[in-house]
Amino acid sequence: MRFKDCISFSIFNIKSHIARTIITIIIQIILTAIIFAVLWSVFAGYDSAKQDIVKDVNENGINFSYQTNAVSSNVISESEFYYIDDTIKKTKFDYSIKETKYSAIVEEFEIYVDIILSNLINNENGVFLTKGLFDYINQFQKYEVGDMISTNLLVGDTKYFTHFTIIGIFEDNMERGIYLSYQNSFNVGIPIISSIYYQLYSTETKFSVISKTILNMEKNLKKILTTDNNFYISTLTSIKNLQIGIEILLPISILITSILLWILLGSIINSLFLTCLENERFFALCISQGLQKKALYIIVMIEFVFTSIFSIIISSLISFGLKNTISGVSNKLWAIFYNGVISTTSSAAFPFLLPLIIFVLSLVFCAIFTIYIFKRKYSNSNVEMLKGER
Amino acid sequence: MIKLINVNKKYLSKNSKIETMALKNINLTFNKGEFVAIVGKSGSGKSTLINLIGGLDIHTDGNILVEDIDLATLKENELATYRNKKIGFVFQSYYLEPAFSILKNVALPLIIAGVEPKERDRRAMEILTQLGLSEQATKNTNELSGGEMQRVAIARALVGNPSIILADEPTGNLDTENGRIVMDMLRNCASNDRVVIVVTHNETEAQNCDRIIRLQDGKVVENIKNEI
Repeated sequence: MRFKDCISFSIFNIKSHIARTIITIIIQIILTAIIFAVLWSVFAGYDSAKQDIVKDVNENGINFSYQTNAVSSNVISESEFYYIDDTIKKTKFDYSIKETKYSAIVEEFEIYVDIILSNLINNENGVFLTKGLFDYINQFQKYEVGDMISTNLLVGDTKYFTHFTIIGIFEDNMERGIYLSYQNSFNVGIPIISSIYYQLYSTETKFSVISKTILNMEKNLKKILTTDNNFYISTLTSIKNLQIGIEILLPISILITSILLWILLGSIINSLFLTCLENERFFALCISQGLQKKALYIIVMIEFVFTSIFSIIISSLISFGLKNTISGVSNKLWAIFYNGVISTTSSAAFPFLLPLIIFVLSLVFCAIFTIYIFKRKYSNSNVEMLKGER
Repeated sequence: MIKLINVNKKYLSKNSKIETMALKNINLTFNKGEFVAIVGKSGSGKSTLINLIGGLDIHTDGNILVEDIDLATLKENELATYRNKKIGFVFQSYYLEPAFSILKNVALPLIIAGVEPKERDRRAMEILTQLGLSEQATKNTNELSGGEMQRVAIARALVGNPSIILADEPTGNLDTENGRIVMDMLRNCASNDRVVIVVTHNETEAQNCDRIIRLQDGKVVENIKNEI
């Protein structure tokens, strides 16, 4: 049978059962549009929340000033003080070391806070002193804030076994440094091109003393952050809540979408069953006249590809048309989870990938279930089909 | 032309526990040019027999040879091609597609065979003209009488120029006059290249056939030539 005739038979089937076809298309449009809406609202809401937080950070962060009065700094030459790890030496880039002493902690031990400015990309601020903190090339941070690491440090002729605690990762401008974990920074879209690693170490080799010092340092840092600039904490809370939002909303939206997809699937199966039932007479006639079952598959497949494409296009247009409404709803939804300014609209791009995914899924479902239903329905002998309608 | 050798047909119930023998040890031969009637009561296996010959169903045992081809050796798509090229079916309830024009209904086997539109329309029209139905070509089936519909069904069966015409109770829904016309038409279909097999309840109609095969409980109980 010619492919053109298969198409004309499919169109004939659609025309013959126009009410069923329209109902199928409407169901698919509604369900697909809802699926778009759910996914789109999550997508747009999350994007909007991110933007709000970044906006918050940019607008308010300028006013933040680190407690520079508690910090003294000076530049130390390599020969004077530091042991440079061989790994660093092998990279053969120019380096300088800037040490900043943090003297706010009142303890019997002298505590240093070393600000190791690391910017391997433009190589302006110095070198990476200790290995393994952050892999710029692969954008992978091995240690999070609060992690403790150990390394050997050579002071003069003496080699010290030292402990470092990573206190935070800051933005490139120290004055408006934002206390963010790498993950949070990444999530809210703040590019960490040049980061400063705050590292705390003690010259003391006794572990208990070092531990105590670390605890003290953390406590003081928290105090600084909490008391001197509420925005710090606020931002952190926003981001933290955003993270919670992501963790809660995404699974829920995936669940809802999955359920809707299953309903969509059910509607497709149902209409496929109807097609088989309604067209049984015609199919039986064609089979008696020598139509091969392969051609029959193609006829039904074309019918469903047609309805699916039609549904997806209409659904996409509806979803696109409603995007501002949807994003407004989603912003309210997301606002539950963070304290940022709520945007009325989202600048997020319409997720054209979603219609494509759903479209492909529909086609796959169509193909699988057409074959399945045909196997079920027409596994009987041709005579049974003919008998049913004679 | 058609040989049935020790053919059995067994049906299993849906739960596969009850076995029904629809045809038992059938040995028959059909020759070109014959107009054969298969008669018997309901459930005697008449329709099963022509369904097996028509490749709509598969026999359980034995051999059905059509022009020396054993139907049991054909795959499903080959059987479909066999039905399309070799068989013309005429059903009791005409089996016309109401949404198609008469011309398209007649051309259906050619559409399925992949014949180009112009050619299939020409051939369909030719058959309709031969059967005196050319004026009905553009009409729909609901505009035709029962007799006319059955004649259209015969036209459809003939359009592919098959070598076997299988008619299952072709006059079952028709009055006497139309039944006679249809039977005359079917008789005319039998030629040197073609065999026509008609399943019927009607003894009078059967008497007008070249041969009568009588079935009872799936067995051939009579196979006699008619002296017309």
